[in-house]
Amino acid sequence: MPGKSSAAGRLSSDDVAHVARLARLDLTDAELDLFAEQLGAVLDHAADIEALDTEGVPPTAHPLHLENRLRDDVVRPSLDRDEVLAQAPAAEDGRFRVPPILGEAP
Amino acid sequence: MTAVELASAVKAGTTTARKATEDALAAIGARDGEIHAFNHVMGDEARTAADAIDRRIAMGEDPGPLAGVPIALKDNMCTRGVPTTCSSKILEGWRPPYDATVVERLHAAGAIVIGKTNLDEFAMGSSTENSAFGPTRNPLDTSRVPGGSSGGSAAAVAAGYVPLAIGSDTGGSIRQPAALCGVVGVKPTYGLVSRYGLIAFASSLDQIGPFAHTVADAALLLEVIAGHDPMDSTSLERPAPEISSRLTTGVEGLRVGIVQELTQGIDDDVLARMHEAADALTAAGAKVGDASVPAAIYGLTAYYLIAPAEASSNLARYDGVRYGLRTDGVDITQMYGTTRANGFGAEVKRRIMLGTYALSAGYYDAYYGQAQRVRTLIIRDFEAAYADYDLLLSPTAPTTAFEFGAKTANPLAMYMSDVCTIPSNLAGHPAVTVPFGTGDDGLPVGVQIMGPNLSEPTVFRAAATLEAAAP
Amino acid sequence: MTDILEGWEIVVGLEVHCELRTETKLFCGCRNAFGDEPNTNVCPVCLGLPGSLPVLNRQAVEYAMRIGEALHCEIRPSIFHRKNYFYPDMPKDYQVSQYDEPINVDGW
Repeated sequence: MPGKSSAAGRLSSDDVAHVARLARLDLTDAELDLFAEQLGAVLDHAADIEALDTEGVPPTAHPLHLENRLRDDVVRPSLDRDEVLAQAPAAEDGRFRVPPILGEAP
Repeated sequence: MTAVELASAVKAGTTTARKATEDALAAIGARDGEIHAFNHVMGDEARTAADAIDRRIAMGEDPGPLAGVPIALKDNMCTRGVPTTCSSKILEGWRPPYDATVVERLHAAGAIVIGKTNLDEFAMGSSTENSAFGPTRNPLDTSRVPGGSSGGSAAAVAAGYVPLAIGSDTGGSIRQPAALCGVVGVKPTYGLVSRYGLIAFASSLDQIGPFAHTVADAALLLEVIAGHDPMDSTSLERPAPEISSRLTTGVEGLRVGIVQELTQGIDDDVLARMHEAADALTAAGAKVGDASVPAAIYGLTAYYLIAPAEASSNLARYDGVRYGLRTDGVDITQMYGTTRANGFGAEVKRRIMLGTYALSAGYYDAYYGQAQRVRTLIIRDFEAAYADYDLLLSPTAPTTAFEFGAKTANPLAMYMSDVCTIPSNLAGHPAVTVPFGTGDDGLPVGVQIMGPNLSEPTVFRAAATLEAAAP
Repeated sequence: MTDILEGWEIVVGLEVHCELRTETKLFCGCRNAFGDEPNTNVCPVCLGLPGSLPVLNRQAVEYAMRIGEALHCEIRPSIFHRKNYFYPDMPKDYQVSQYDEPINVDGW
């Protein structure tokens, strides 16, 4: 139900509906309610680390310190188009076919 | 027969690649209806590859260090022309047009890829119950889970179908099922094994690694698959380490620390086995003490923000446009929404939602950003511990293999399975699990040895010592 | 009319997209060619196939630095971010882009 808060209180069904739209997941109302509760429970645990003093601590995005991993500008073989399009849900004229993009940008 | 023994026998001509392959296929045929370790068995491909190996040997060639050895591959690694599904409906039947680098290296070493094994969908889970194609059963007790997410690969080795298997480990997905199935499992140093062709779950955490019955077999397989790959810019610019040749040098003088924070919330019998393993190391000449990695207590929380955040981005590509499942819609937005709702299971949806929320505007810094800073704290605490110790010890999993359904009611209960394994993924460090005795229920217990980056030779030495001393 | 215009300063920003003349694409070794048949210069990376990984083109970085020099920029260490959104012509449904730490800044 719109606006109903989860048991954990952190996420409302509206919050969850918004996130589902961002993630392009068409969830049922039952799923929205269930996820509001379950995600709320996980985020409650996030409070453990929210409270930690991390002033001056840099974030780690990646365990390795990598710099300048570059590739020479040399052509490598491409894939066979037929092999690729054989796996496509819909293909036409050597292209991937998709439904129309109506209304606003998706 | 171990992989080392089988490779020798094939090379010496006392057996053939074809015979080893037929034996593996027969074992699978006899029991996998019940166990369901495999999503897809590659009978024809394996026989063809085996015959080619046998022809080359007959001509006096050396087809490689794993020539004729059958191996199972987790179904999240691309095999050209062979279904690669991640145990998800959204990739059911997808045949990649390319091989993962790991697969190319296995072929170059003469190994025979026998099939693709079951996993928790998109590698998200600790029991293989999240597979869209049905769970895998623990071969040691079929009422129990094999662990996850690489449950199929662990079971394939534990059931005796194949001596070797390959899995992936993001928060423990090799080590935990290895422990629950009573086999050896390895998560290498991040960057040691190429991720090109491994279908990504969390890019800064994922690593490919071996399952085997013996430490020597695991070392052999790791040496084959490790080493720089120009197709993966996160792969370390160095060749594979030498591990096998140094396995039996023992642990005399090595300082081993039991990580206190990882002895919390562990079943008594599991903890007892770990202490016995510590005693075995002492008896073999190691100096064992108590170590502390204080921030490790936040590992689970940091992981369950970082991993879903990365996953939400990595799984955006499953949109029904170029491959995989498509559910039609009146427009592209509806097509996206229904395809992904139909194609993904509950746990995958849950993690995508959690990750999307953690990355969304207004929450990014509080959740994902803070988790990344906690990751730094964990890395620093490990560094401090490694100033005093060469290796660290802990249980691998908090319990022995649990029953189906025991932890599915509450996602958080399942997440706790990875409490001991997650810290090494966050730090990028190598870790090996070795079977060491059983719990009160007679089921296997695994003990985990961790080391700093690129310490595989030392970690494996300790693993070999524990293996020799195991009850 | 001049009263209305007084006190207002016209500022014009130009967002210029410029294709770099490299042999291959930015993150993969496919031919960087225009006008070829659709989907003939593609690979797992630029198709965003599961398991693919990008590797940055050295020549593109050098050209970017030369452009930075030409426009009097400060050339800095830079990183890439993922800009996550869904569009059918964007295979991974995120764009690998520079965000707050781009290679060239403060030019004129």
